[in-house]
Amino acid sequence: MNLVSVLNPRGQYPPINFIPMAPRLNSLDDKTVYIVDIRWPYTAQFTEQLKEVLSERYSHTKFVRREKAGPYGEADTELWDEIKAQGQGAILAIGH
Amino acid sequence: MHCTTLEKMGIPSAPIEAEVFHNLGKMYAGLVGMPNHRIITVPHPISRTPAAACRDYINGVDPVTGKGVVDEIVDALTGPLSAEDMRSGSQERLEPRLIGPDTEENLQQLFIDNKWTDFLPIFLPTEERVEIMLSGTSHDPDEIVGELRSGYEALTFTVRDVAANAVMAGAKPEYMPVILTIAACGVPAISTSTQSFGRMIVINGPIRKEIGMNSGTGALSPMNRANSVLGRVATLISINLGAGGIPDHSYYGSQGNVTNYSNVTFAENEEWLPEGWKPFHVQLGYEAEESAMSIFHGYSVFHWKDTFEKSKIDSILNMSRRILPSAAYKSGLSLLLDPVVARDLVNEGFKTKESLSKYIYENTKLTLGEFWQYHLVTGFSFPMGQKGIEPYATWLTMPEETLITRYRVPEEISVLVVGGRMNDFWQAGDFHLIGSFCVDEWR
Repeated sequence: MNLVSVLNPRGQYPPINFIPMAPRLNSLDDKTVYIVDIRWPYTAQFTEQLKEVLSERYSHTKFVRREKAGPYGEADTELWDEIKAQGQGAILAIGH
Repeated sequence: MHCTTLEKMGIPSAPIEAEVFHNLGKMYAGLVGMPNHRIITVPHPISRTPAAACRDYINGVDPVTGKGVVDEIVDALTGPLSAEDMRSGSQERLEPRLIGPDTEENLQQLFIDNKWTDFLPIFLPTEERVEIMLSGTSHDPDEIVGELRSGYEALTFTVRDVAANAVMAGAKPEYMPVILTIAACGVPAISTSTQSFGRMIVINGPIRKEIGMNSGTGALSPMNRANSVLGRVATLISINLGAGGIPDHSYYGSQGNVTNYSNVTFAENEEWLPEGWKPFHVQLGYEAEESAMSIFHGYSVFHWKDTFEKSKIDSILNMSRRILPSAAYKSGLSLLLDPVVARDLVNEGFKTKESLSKYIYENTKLTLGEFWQYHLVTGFSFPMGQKGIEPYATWLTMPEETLITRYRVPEEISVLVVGGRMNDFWQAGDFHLIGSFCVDEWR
């Protein structure tokens, strides 16, 4: 039987650099959690409802809904800094 | 990607995504180094879904896990971390460069199973075939050609890796300078976007004739080895050297794009350009004796001859008004004119390609009221304007009846001549130039 060897047609994959996840909260009580709308077209109603539902269920938590500035893939460093200064957690939503 | 930033800042995050992107979310989290990131999914789609239905989704269960959406949100923010969640450090992903030995039948199946092909028959890249292919360039086989990101991470690759893909596509060694140019340009033929983008590749200069490309009759059809193989290899390079093209993993184009088969690859018919019309690469600053590969971004090419036009330019203007405004996103206009049509346009007064582009630019305006209605404007241009980015910020302050140009600059309207002078029909599309790259550097 004729056997052959062939070249791997794929390129070299980069290494994976692991990022430790941020410490979790012991509970949501008395915390401020940001709901970040990443602004995919025509999805604002989802994050609005999310804020309503969570506020009803977790009355001891403050939920702040904010729309991220710029197109959905673009960082909003001012908002990230605000969350760092005034919040303890973030929920990000949603595409398509 | 925003969650990664927040987690690095010490802020626990809970990403919510639509269920069709579950694989993407998990894969991306792994690639960026947070494989256990707690991703919550809800039914798809969300866009234009009424508020009441969204509320039901939130009060309902995650369609992937079957757990309550709200419970998962709380768990994402408060659930204890495992040792794996707090992992740091780096993990290499080196792969063997040689596969086998095995039978050709088994190796063919391996390439299909691993999705290393475009699912048309391939030539296996044996060492001998790749060595022969490498004779088509003076560059060292181990030279790093560049990086390509077709999926969600950028791979590096060598001249030898490119040659392996050239073998698979059925290339001749003399095609290598063009193939290396395509690989080195950093523009993948296939992207990840749900929009199903396509590419167009145009070759100019002496290399066209040296490798036997077709710029005349049937140039856009699969009727010439060089045209067909160069277009095909661009896609294989994207799949294998850019880690793309796997549906629901590295590719999310909802419908896909027929141009991905061959990337609308052709040579411009420089020999039948009307007097005064420069080859496309010369318009961009190359010498006529240089060879260049120009790559375009867009969605499609289609037939453009109207039934009732009084002149060629009337027809072009009529059709041009249907193109997505380039200010909305990465768009533009490419006219693929048969030499007969080019001659007619000269007779209508367009003595240069540039004069034709300028005329179209000035005569295809739209109102801001129309502009703001485009879907991509809503997603990209509108938030950019709110963020103060021009010209959108100023446009947001102007009346809706204000006229703006459909294309940002005349240069976004590319004029290319291709065809065999058989009829005064032509084609065009929304392809706009990403860049033009010198082929001669890869000889």
